[in-house]
Amino acid sequence: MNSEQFENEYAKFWIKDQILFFEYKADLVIDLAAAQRIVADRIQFQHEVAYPIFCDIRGVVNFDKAARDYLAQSGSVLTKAVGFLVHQKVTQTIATFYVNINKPTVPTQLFEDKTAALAFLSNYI
Amino acid sequence: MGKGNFMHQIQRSGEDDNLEILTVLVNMLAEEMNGLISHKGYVNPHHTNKYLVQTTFILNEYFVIKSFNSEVPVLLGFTPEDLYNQKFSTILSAESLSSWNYVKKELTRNLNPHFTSQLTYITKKQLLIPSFCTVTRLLQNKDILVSSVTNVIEETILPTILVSGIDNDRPEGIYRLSDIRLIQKVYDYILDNLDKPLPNLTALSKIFGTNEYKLKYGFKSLFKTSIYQFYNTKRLKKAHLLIQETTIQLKEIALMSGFNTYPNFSKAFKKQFGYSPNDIKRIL
Repeated sequence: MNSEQFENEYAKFWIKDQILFFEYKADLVIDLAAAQRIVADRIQFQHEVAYPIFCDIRGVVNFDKAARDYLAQSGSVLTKAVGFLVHQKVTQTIATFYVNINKPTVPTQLFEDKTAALAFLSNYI
Repeated sequence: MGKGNFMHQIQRSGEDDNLEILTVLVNMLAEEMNGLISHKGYVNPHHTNKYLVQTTFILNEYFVIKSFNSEVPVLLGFTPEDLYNQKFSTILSAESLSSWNYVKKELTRNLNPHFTSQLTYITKKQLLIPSFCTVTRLLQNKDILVSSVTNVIEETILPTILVSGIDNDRPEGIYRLSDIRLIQKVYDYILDNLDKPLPNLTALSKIFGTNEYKLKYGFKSLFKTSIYQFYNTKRLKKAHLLIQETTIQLKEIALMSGFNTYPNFSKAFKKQFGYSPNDIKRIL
């Protein structure tokens, strides 16, 4: 069940089979302003329904501390769980740090494989 | 960093190797430590603090450095001679140049502009200092003022902040690492459960396996606020965000914020922010 896609300067997102797919664009450095914008757009797009989120962060170069803290708390609104897709070791490092130190308030895990990520998220539909 | 200076960031190489992994970890560690040390605390409040004004530049109408305050050479590692008559852009990182160019363009167009911009300085040693800058054109002449806000840890203050156990006028509080970790857990627990009513002190002490006195005074000593006040402020702020960013009904938001009835929510909200939930402009 596909629905419309939304795109802002940082990412594209769409909902499919009750999971919100979130794909960051390439070569991004995410600061607090970007994080706030991303969260605001995402919340609006979801129309008050919470979803598990598949989040492809392969394009992100860095998230600064303010962005990480914001995403961990306010960014968890209307989110049931988050599965990150990472390939590069550096991105894995950043995402692992985020999960352990910035402590998002919803279950969050990293995956190198999209199928595994979707399997994890399907538990939260 | 060994001196307690956590302001700097190492430049990224763009590779995906072990060295880059270390760079990224060190940078993130520095960011977290910066937040902790400046707070003079032992716990991680999961938010970023606002900084103090510290560096000032005066540029001429061509954005060339004419003068600056005494902190600037210390912060950037350049001698004053290195800085005078340099274009301001030479001390900015490559990523900041597009923001700086935008600011320059707007300043030349506008008569009395005042801008804020997140810019990143680059030090003599090629380290990066992200800073929140205010840029204004001065009124009487064509000069430009750039003030930026960053943390500075002066070496004379540092030993008293980081030293443990030798501090003479320590305020009353808890200092065992296990107790500090416990209070941190309570803090995180509250953040995770803002949508429910706060358990009372007795229940909390049962959940965390400690006594009420330790919880109450430990929390206050470390976070400078009472447990209930912290819970209340955070849940109201979350509600505020939901009201601004979503179209969820106010009554529903009240329940999502751990309030039993809407009137209770509305009253608490007004007390916290000075205006009622209804007054906020919402997305239609």
